[in-house]
Amino acid sequence: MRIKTVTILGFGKWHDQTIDLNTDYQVLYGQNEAGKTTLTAFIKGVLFGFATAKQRYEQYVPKNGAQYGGELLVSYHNRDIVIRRLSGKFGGDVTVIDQGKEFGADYLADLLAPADEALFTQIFETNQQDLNQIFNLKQADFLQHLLTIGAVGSHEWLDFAKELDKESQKIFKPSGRKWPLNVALKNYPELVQSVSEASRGYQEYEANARRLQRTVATMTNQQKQVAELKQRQAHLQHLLDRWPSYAQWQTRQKQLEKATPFDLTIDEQYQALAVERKRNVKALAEAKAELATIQETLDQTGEFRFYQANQAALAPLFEQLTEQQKRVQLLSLQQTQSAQLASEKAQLAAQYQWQPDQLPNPLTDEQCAQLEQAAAEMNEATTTSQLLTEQLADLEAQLAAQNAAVNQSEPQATPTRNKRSGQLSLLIGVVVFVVGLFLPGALKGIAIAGLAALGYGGYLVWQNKQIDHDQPAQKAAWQQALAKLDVLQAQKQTKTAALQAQQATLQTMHEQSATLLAQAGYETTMPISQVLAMQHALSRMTQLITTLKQQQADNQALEAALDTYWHAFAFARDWVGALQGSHEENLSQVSQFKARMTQLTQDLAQSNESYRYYQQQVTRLTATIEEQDAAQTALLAKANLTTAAELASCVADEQQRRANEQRQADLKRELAADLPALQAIASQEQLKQQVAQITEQVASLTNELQEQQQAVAQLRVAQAQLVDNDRYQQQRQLQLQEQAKITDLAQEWLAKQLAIDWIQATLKAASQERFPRLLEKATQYFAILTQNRYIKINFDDTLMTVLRTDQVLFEVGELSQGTAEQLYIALRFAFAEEVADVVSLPLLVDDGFVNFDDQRQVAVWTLLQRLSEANQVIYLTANPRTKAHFEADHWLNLAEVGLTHDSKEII
Amino acid sequence: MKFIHAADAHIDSPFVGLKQAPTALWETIHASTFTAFKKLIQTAIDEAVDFVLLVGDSFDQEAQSLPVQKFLKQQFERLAAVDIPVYLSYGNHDYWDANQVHFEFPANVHVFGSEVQSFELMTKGHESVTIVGFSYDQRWLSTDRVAAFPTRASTTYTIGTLHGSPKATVDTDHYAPFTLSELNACHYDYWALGHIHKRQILQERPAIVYPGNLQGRHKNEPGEKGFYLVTTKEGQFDLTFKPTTVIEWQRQSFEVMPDMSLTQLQTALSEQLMQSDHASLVALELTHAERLTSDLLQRINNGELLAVLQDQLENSAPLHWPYALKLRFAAQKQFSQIDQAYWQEAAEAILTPENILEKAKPLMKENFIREAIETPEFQADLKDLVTTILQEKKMGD
Repeated sequence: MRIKTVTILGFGKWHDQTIDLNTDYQVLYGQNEAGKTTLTAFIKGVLFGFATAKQRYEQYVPKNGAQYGGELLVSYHNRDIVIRRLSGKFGGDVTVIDQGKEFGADYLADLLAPADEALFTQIFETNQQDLNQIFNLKQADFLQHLLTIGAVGSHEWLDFAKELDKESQKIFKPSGRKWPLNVALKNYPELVQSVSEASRGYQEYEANARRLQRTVATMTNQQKQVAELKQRQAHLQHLLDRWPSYAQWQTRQKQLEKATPFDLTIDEQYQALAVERKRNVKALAEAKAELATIQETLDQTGEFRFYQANQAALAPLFEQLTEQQKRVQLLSLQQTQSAQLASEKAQLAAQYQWQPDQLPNPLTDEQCAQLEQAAAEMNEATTTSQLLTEQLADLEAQLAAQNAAVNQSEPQATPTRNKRSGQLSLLIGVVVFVVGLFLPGALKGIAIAGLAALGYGGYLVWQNKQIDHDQPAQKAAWQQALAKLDVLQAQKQTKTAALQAQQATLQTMHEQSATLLAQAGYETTMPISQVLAMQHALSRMTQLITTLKQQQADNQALEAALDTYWHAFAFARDWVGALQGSHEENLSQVSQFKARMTQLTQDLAQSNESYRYYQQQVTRLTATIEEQDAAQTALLAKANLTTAAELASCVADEQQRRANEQRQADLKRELAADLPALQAIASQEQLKQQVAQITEQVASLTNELQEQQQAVAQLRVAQAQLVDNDRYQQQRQLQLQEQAKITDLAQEWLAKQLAIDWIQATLKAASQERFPRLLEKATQYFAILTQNRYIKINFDDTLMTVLRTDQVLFEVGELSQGTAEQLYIALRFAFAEEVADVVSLPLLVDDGFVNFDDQRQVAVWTLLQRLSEANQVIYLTANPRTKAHFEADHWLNLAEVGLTHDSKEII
Repeated sequence: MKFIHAADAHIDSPFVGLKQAPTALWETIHASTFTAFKKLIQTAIDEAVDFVLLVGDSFDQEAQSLPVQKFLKQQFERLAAVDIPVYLSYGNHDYWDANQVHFEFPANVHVFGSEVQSFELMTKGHESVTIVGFSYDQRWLSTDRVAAFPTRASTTYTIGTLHGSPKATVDTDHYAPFTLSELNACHYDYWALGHIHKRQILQERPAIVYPGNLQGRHKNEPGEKGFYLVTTKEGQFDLTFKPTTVIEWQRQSFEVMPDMSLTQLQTALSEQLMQSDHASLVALELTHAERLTSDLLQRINNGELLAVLQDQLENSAPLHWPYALKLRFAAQKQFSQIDQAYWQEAAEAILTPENILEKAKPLMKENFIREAIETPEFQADLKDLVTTILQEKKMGD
């Protein structure tokens, strides 16, 4: 870029001025305060920005109110561009007009790139102050400087590198602690630790697995042991349970060893015989019983024997029985008749009030006729009388009956002779009977008499009792009867009166008759009809008396005969009875006796068969039993026994033995396989001990087993937990996550660090390549400036030296001020020329060579002209000699620009 | 014959490279390898396969995860319940260490020993199958084990299972190195490979297949992951890929348009992130970052945009989680007027692995940092980042 025209609207003392510049070089001459520095400030300001309000002293705001700013017409890559900067924010408003188009500040920056104000200041702007820097120049600084200026934008890149370094240090500092990557790296081992811890779960699992395997093996073993022990325990317990059986077995065994067998067939035979015998005995008993029965049947009381013994005496008596029967019948009949006749006779006697010994004589017919006459006469009266009499009689009868009823009914009137006699009879009867009972033998009849008396007495008492019994009912009746009796007595009186009348009538008749009757022995008072009527009765009476006498005789005969007969049985009184009762009774007794005897006789005939039979049975059975007894005895003998009891004992023993044997067999079967084991054990106590011992073992081992099982269970739980625990994976993922984070941060940090390195390397590369060229140019320029007094510039790490033509080496510090300045100028110009390919800006040289001598001034002027090939050189000087040295059209006196020279006022 | 060929389940393997995530995401992540494996088991059951091949690295031995052992056992029991056998080999990550805890698997699980071993089975279609394989008993197996594989069996099919990587250089051949010609020389019908997490079919006939892992666990395992359901039809092996990815690692780029505001960026980015059907963990790359204003650039650099996006997507379902956001500037834009040659030269001197490691020395307290820094990927990223820093500087000028 070369400036063709500088147009200043207002800048410091300059306003509304246009200065045309040569694009190769332009010398601007001016005295102090000619505005040289202001002009350089303007050019720099248009290109890189005016000083801001903050940099007040560097501002060139015009005092006259002209517009602050201006423009440069530059030639850039063979085209004209106007760069205008007017007052505004951030260093002024920039307008770039390039090929008719307007652009902004960015465009300008692009145009100037990589140069900025700093670079411009450092490379292209030379003033006296800068020159002194040469004395501080060291290689590193120089190189740094070179880096800064040696490549396009070096400075900027270096700034960026610094920035990157800062940024990178915010990620990581090798000695830092708080930065993210430092922190992450510091913490990472913890994470690793925690992963490792988490991974212990696996080792734990492995260890557990091994333990589990061992424990399970142990457990299995123990289980087996326990099982075996339990089996053994069960076996022993079983044996123990069996022990009672075994003990029994032992006992039985001993018993059996002692016992001898007994042939039970003997017993069977014996028992068979016994049964047989028993049956026979029974049959014998039955037979005997039968015989006895028969005997007893025939001879209950000895009656039959008596009969048989006295058959001779009894047989005729039995034959007479029928006759006696007839007699009894006859007697009975006759007695009945006699009784009837006697009754009739008594009736008649009663009827006619006949005394038994004073019977009237029967009347003759004549007498009768007379009497009949009389009777007839009297009949009427009699009839009436009779009627009356009858009525009276009737009344009498009623009265009598009534009286009787009254008497009977009267309670107080009870004691009667009858009663007393009844009671007496009863008493006597009892006494007699009792006495009789105590009397011996035949005198027992007295008891019978007593009984009779008793019976009689009893009867009487009974009668009285009956009366007594009726009394309460009759008491009422009695009162009634008394009343009735009164009525009847009244009637009687009436009738009696009537009868007396009649009887008076009849008296006469009666008297007549009475005579007659008296004659005939009748009671004269007796009515004729009665007499007449009595005639028949009298005749009958007579007949009766006769008949009765006859009958009485007959009966006496019969009775005598009968009594004789009864007496004949006196010897059989024990069997037949006393025969002191009535004939009928006696007859009945005898008949019964006879009937019994007859029956017995018949039975005897029948029984004889059975009897014989049973007797035979008895005989036979008795014999059989005896045989059997013998057989039994023989059997016993065979078994060397004597009694059945012994046999029974033997049998019992044998049965016991057999039972034992059976039990033994059962036990043996029951014990079966256990028997040898049981036999191997000395005692139950020992067995119990063994059981106890093994039980204890089982318990102990079971405990151990449970512990193992618990351990196994716990291990399994632990294992399951470990299996389900994915902490390791989580931690591992976290670790990887952290790794990613760290790697990322590392990458970021590395990227920044490498970017810095890259930048520096690039700059270094760019610089270093230029450096030899630069050094060559510098050497050349230095030689020019020193009129070839110095021929070489050397840089080592700490020191810059120059070689004089005489081969003397000088450090910069050893050089004169001027020479040192010339060295610096040489270096800077060399730089500017060297980087001109990338940055070509006008070199603004503001009167810098005050310490140069004339020759060296000329030399530098010459150099400036030469430099203008690479860069436009704008040389501002207060040295008037320059006018002679430079071409006239390249030399401009600022005073002659015709500008208004306003002094820059410093506020 | 129908079977499942899977490998490298890496159950319970943690996710690498996430600095932060919402709790729900951590839960999803933690469950993802389990979930993916469950999907596999479910497919086996649903498809009533004849058997399941698990060719190594079902889990990480180093993780010493008991839950994984339990989980595997449970899942195998599911297969046992439906009589599906499993042929399992241990790989370099879950290599057989007798001292380590191993849960006893159900009887349907046939585990290959450290010597090459064959199992025979009869499919439901009455085809006889021989399955050959072996297990790692150490972390590294530099020997070529294919030599120990028997020649093709007389069964209908012979399947080789091999957890390893193709021969490359002696220095890197630590995982049962093999060559295709070696495998082909065995004349097997199918080679079920494991170890390499990227799904790839090395050869069509006979099939030599890496099914890849079931779930990506870091940004270098991007895309859909799963296993192969293999069916044979008339002797042809038909491979169907069955995805099991629970959450997919993705790289997404987004071109910054000129004059975009932060809100516009955020809206456009979240729209783009939400497009995926899968839950995703996304590393975003904003290309043409030079189009961003310096202010925006700074805000993005401060993590503002990523934070806003994460905030916005925290509860998205399926979950889309942008875990990183990078700026890419259009290439070759000179960020300095200083000769690019100098930058280039300096970069070559400065951005070397040696220099990086030298520079990183103060950080080398932990091995993982060294390991991370040593990875070319880290260094590439680092270079990108450095460049971006300078470019941002330029932008910010």
